[in-house]
Amino acid sequence: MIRRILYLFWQRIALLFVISLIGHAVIHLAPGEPSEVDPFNPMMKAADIEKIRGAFHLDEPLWKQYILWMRDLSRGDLRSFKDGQPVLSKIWQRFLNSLPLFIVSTLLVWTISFPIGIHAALSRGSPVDRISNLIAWALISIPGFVLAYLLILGIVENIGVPVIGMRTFGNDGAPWWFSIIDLMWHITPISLMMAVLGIATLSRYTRSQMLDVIEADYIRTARAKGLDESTVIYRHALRNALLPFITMFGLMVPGLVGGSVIIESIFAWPGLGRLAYEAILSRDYPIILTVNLLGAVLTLIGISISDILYAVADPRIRHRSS
Amino acid sequence: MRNDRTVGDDLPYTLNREAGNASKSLTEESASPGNDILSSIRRNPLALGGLIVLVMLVLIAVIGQIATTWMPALDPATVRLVDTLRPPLHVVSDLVAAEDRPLFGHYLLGSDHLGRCILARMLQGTPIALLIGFVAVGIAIGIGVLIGGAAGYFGDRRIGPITLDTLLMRFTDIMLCFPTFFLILTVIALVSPSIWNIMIVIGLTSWMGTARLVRGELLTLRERDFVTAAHALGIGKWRILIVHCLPNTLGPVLVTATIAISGAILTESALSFLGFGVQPPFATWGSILADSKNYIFDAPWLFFIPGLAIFAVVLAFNLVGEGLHDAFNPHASGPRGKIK
Amino acid sequence: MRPATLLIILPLVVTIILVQSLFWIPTQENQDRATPERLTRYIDGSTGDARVLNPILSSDVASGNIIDLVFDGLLEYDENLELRGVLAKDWELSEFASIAVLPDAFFPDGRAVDAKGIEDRVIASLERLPATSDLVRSVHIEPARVEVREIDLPQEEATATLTIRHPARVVFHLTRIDPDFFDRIEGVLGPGYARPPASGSDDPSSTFDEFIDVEPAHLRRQALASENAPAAEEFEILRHQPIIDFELRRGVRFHDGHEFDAGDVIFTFDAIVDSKNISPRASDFEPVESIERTGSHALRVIYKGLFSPAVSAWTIGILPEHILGRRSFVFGDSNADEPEEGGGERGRDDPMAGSERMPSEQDREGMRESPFNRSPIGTGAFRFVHWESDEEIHLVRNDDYHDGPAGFAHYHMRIIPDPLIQDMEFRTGALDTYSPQPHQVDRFLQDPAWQNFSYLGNVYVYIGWNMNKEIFQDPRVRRALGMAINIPEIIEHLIYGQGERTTGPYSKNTPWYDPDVPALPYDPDAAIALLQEVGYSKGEDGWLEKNGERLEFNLITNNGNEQRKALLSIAQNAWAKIGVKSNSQIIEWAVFLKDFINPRDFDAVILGWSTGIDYDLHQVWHSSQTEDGKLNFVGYKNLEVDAIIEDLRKTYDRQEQVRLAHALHRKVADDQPYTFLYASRSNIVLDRNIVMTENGETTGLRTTSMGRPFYYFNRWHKNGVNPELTP
Repeated sequence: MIRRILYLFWQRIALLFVISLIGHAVIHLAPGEPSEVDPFNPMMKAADIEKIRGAFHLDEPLWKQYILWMRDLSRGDLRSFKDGQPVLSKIWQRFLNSLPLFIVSTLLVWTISFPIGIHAALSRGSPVDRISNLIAWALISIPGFVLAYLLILGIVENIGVPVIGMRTFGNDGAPWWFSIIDLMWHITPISLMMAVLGIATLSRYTRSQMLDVIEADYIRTARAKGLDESTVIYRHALRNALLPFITMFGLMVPGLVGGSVIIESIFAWPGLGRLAYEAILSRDYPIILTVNLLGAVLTLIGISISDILYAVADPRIRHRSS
Repeated sequence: MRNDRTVGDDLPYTLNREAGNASKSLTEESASPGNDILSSIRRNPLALGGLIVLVMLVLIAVIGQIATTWMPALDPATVRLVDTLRPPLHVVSDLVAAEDRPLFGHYLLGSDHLGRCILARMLQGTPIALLIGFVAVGIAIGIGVLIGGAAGYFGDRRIGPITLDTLLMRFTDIMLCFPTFFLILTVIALVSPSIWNIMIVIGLTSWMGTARLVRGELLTLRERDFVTAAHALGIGKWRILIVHCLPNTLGPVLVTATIAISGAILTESALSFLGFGVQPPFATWGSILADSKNYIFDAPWLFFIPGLAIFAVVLAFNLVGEGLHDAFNPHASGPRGKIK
Repeated sequence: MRPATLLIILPLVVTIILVQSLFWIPTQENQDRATPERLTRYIDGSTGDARVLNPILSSDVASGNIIDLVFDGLLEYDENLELRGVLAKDWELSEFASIAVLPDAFFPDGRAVDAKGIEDRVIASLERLPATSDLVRSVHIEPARVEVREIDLPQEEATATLTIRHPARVVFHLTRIDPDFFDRIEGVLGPGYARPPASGSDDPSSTFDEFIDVEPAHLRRQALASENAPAAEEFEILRHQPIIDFELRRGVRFHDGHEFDAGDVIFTFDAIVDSKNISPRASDFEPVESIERTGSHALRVIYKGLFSPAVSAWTIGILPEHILGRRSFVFGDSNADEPEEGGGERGRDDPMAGSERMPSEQDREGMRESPFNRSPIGTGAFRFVHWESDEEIHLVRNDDYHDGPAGFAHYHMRIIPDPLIQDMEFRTGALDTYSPQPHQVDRFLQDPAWQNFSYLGNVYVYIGWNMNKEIFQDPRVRRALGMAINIPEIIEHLIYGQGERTTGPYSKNTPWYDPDVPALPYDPDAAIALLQEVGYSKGEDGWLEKNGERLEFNLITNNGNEQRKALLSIAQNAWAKIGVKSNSQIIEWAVFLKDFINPRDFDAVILGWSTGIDYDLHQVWHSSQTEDGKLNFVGYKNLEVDAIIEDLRKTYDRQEQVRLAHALHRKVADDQPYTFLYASRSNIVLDRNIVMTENGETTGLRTTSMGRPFYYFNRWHKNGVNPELTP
């Protein structure tokens, strides 16, 4: 068992290495350079461009640039082009801002989609099922930013409370509980927007899982034993239907980076996604590369978590691997 | 293991770790589904509606392309500054020169901040939206079938210490690890944003699902009797692959492709919305949305029209995709079935 | 609990907990729900971040707003655009009018000229004239002297030795600046006296040839061109030297508690003219000959010659010498407060000690790299607290402000690049002000929830005609092309009525603008007639032509401005209607300047000027500014206009300035070097609860005569908050 975990661990480290290599190469081989940050910007003097080239070792061969990037990153010396701040602390701060969003939107996805999916499965073929199926597809199909603007439009026009950013500006000096509620409110619309897609897909998935399980033999057996319907559904069926979701939990982790670029930008939330977007706009290579790497790391962590959870939850897997 | 079965559910969260042994139930023995599929879709009102929308859309795209090129009244570039931000069905101002008047003397879908006719701009964007979907997904499917086919069918060949299958699937895993939208955004921001670049980049970053799917299908097909029989008859490996095996993966691939097109359209609109889309003055739905964002409180219809169009098209593709999926899997848990 | 119930309740609970938070959040109407302190804050929005918070270095709007609050100038414009003292309690204009005593010259009656003779005769002549008896305050005589100056010429790798023979001068200290002084006393010396006998060539250096010897002689030209060479003005025979005597306010303290005095003003001046600092304001102070302190809170500025715009240059914010001065450069800690360090004090009183020290980092790099620029200290109504890049700049009230503390306890400038977000934040009460875009104005004006102000900005938009091109040299062509454009329609539809016709180079809300100058009428027929008068007629293809050559040109503008882009196509369309063919091009700003404007390689251009409220138009309209790279890029040369511009600079009398400015405006309007299109209005919406206190009474906001509310910002506060009692 431990040998297998170690093996998986090393395999993933190797994977990470290759990912960082490819990411580095893609971004550097793409035409365009940071020195072209803004070729029409008269404030950008030739000396500044040289400074940037020097700082990012752009004149070195590609492999050396990669090594230097890795060296600076591991020492914590890597600095943003834009303002010279250390990349790691910048990313860490934005990560902390994104974390509550992620937690709340995950909570919303997981609590809302199950009842909907189960209900749809139990009333299969009924108008409710059809409507919820259509709504789910509609939510999948609507561009997230359109929905976000509709929400903003509705809140600002009808309720008139601030929705932008992480807090209501100008309330320093308010009691501590206000800051918490204020943060909670500002999280609500944006995490709702981030959860919409998840709710739609997960509820459809729950429904199909439930349907598969309900048709299984052991459920028929349970019914035949004369157990009452809710025991059958919630004790026997649901438990088995939920098993695959354990894996999905880990797979949501990378959503922290990639899933939020547009929504965070629209709501002016100072999170990782917006940091990444701003870095792209200003060709801030150290940040782009590092965020990209972070995305890959989170994906691998997510996969590992789901593997481990699955092994813990499903005795068959545990058995096979040992 | 049946959890990865439905392709429609394969959208944002499921990263199919076990795709290899996952899709047994996908293909039944009936190898020529043709008529069954059509009739199956016909019985599914949502999919049928989606299909009708798509057919109309293709018509609109063709007509729009011709009209915006040849009819001056529908020239999407005509600027009429005396008529800016007009609501739909607004009558054109008398100050507009005769040759600049929009179709029927009305702004059927309103006018934008430069007085350009939204109808004309939407028409100009329609073929682009479809083109982006089809080309990007075409690229993705092509790569996916190539890599998935190689891994699934020639997977046990060895290159040095590892098998071809391991090599290709590890590569697929690596590609899956990148935060896709962020990667697309980065590359598009670095290369010059042209419509072809966008298609290529979307295609290059979204083939992984297809590759896994095709590999999984081929792994099961390889063990089937008719393949064994073909081997016994001495038919060449390539011939078996192309003539006998790949056609059998067509169904699932088609389903994936349909739904992937909607994804590609959404991705393009998001890119355009962030300002990395097709260069002005050319209009795509995403860029019309991006332009109208600033007027959302003053001229909301500017925002709703392209938003609604994208929504309708993506929904249509998705519903058709689901219809196809149900048609290929009669036992799947579509809404038509009954609990036994 | 049954699982079914749990599955229903859990999502409901999560959702309800999240959504109920909405009811705790203050809306615009009850901003003080969370904390009453919210009403003591004024939150402003800016689309761009500030660049440098240093009055002598900044040139962008965002920095300017902060600097105005943190720093005070000696003077400022009051609500009627007249100067009033801020750090200066009082100021007085006077003049040294001096006459060089030429050794071999004679009075008209044949007697040899000497200093005493000049003094007596001038005084006597003035006493005979009416209203000039009190003109001369005092007279002194500067004896002739000889100075030897060494000048390093690095380019020649040589050193030149200058022997300068300053002539004796009779200096009359006049009680006011009198540009006509030498005309009044012309009879004393005769009309020929002012012209030195040697002057004949065009070389400006030759006017003082006879006073300077250069060794070695072949380096004469280079030596005299060096910046260490004496200025030509010093050798004028009849010389005006205006003087400003400032009496500074006592007891004014910088935000760190250090008292403001004359040394800070001198330090600020030195910093501006120091070439290392590359101050954009340096040209305003270039005419200053010397600045000296005449007391701890008094100083005298002497100018090289008549230059009336110089006075208003003293509106510039004053820097703290004790922080930026050379001794205490190591900035950021508190040593500036510690009296035993006291470097600023000593450095000032003992200049030699200062110059003997090792050059500090500041001496080498100038002020541009100083951390002061991100955490400024001034004497203004607000004290700098914090600057979070791209987020906000936070200021708090300076309770010690010499003009009384401001009404708001805090000032925040939030940096919000997206106008849509500014709009939303304003409407939900997280910003207190917003500037609606033209198309939004109606929506905001109709909304009774806000108070709104609209005033004419100091910006005008124009089409400039390149008069180096032959087709535009005839003013009738320029006039005809202007008459073909329906400008009222542009104002009504393109900018939704948020602008006004303007007819000349001055900002419409200054006294310099002459409202009686008629606007160019919209009359395409008259335009065609005018062009026919010039000799153009319709050719076979329908375009106007003259001698077989078509009237065709390129109209360009810079990229990134939607309004100008729109104007481009409107103008093109209007000209096509009268048969004039034009092509258009939109060019990136840097390329636009480098390849088109600066080398004068364009036909016509759409641009805008932000004019300020000064009457000096030398930079844009004087014919000396037509060289490559200078601002008169349309190549406008009119000797009459040149003369008026120069006269304006020499006039200190306001009535006369207004008269000259009106004449200038009319001349420019007659010539139509630009087709003046419109001046945009600025619109401001504000929280309705913002009121002001005046003479102890709370009233609604008042605006200046120009319609601007912000002039009274220091008296603003929010209704329900007593400005005296807030923390």
